[in-house]
Amino acid sequence: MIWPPEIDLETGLFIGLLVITILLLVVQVRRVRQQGLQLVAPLAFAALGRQAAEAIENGRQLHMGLGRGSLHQSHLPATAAAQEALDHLAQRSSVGGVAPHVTLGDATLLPVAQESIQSAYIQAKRLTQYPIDSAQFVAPYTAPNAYGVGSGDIIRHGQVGSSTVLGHVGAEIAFMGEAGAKAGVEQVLGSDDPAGMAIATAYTPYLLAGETMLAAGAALHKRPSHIASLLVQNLWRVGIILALLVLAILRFIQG
Amino acid sequence: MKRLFPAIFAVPIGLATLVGLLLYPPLSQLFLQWGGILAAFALLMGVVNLMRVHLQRATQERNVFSVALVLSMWIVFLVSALNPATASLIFNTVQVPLEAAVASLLAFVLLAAGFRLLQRQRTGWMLLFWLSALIVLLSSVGLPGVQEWLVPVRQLLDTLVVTAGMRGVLLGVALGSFLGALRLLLGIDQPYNK
Repeated sequence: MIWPPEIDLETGLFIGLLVITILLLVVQVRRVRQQGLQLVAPLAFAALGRQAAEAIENGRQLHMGLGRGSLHQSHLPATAAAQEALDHLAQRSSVGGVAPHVTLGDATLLPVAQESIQSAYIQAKRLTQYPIDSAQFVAPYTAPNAYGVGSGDIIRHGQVGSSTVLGHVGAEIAFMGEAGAKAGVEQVLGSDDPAGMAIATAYTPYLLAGETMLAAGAALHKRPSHIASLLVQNLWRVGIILALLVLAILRFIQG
Repeated sequence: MKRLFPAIFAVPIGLATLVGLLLYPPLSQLFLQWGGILAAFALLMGVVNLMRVHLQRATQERNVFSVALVLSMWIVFLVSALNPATASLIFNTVQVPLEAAVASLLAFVLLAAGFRLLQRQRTGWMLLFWLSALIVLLSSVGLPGVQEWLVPVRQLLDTLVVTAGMRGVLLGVALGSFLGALRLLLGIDQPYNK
C-alpha cells in the first residue's frame, strides 16, 4: 500500500461531501433536540398502526413484503426503512399474539425478519407463542416475478386482513397489489424503484414513494437523528437545485 | 454491554469498508467477500425455510402446489448432485420459460391496474395518465398516418416529462439512501441490535 494514497478529484469531492453531511447532521440533531421539532407523517404511516390494531381485533393476519433488496447490495437503506416498518407492525401486533406474515425476495432478509418478529414477541413477553415460520423466503432477488406471484398467492389465499409491501420492489409489485385489490384488503405500498412506485399508485391511496418510504424511522419511531437527517436532506436538495439553476444559466449565457 | 457488542464490530468494519473503497480497494473487497460468504449461508437458510413451509403445507393442508414444489426441489437437487450439466438443462427448459411466461403476464396485470385506477379515481390526472399511455402505445404499434405525428409527441413526453420526473424522484431516493447509509455507518441506526 502506498501512503499517502493518491486521491483523485471525484474521491476528494465525495470525502468533502461526507464530512459536510456529518457536520450538518450533528448540528441538526442538536436543533431537533433543542426545539423539539416533530415530523408531520404521511397518512400511510398512520394506516400501518391501524392495520396492527385491526389485525388483533379481527384475528386476521398482516402481510408484510420486505422486498428483494439484499443486505450486501446497494438497496440496503430501502430494506432498513422496510425493517423499521416491520418492527413497528410486529411490536404492535405481537401484543395481541398476531405475527405479521412476512414474505422475502432475498434470503439475506430472512434473519432480519425473524429477529424483528422474535424481539417483538420477547418485548410482549410472549416468546413461547413466537411462530417461527412467520417469515417466509419466497424467491431469490434474481427472480422478481416469482417473488411477486408467490407473495400475491399468500395475500389472496391466506387469512390476510391487510397488506404492506415496502423496500426495494420493482414492477413485480403489480402482482401483490392486484392480489390485495382482489382480496379487498387495505394496502400500504412503497418502493425506492421508479417502476414500483408508479405501479403502486394504481392500487392504493397509501403510497410511500421513494424518499417518503426512507423516512419510515422518522415517522414511526420519531427519533431525533431521523428527523435531523430529513432536514439535512432538504438542505442538500436546495443546494442541488440552486447548483442546477446556476449551471443552466451559465450554459445559457455561454451559448 | 450486550447492546454495545454488535456495534463494536459493525461500525468499524462498515467504516473500514468505506475507507477501503475510497483509498485502498483490496481491503473493502475482502470485507465484501466475507459478506458474500455470509449471504451464501443465508441462501441455504432460505432454501431450508422454503422447504419447511411447503412441507408443512403439503402435509397439513394437503396443498398440491406445495407437494409439487417440494418434489421438484428434491428432484433438481438429486439430479444436480449426480450430473451438474443436467441442472442447467432443467434451468433452461423449465425455469427460463416459466419466468418469461410470468413476465408476459405483467403487461395484462398492469392494464387491469390502469382500469382499476380509472374506476377509483376519475380526476384530471387520471385522464392525463390514460392519454399519455395511449400515445405511447399507439406510437409503438406503427400505424400508418398516425405514426408521423405521434412519435415526436412521445419523444417530447420522454425527454421532458418522464426524464424530469424520474430525475426528481431518483434525486430524493439518492439523498434519502445516502443519509440512511450514513446513519448505519455511524452506528446511529443499529437494525442488527434489538
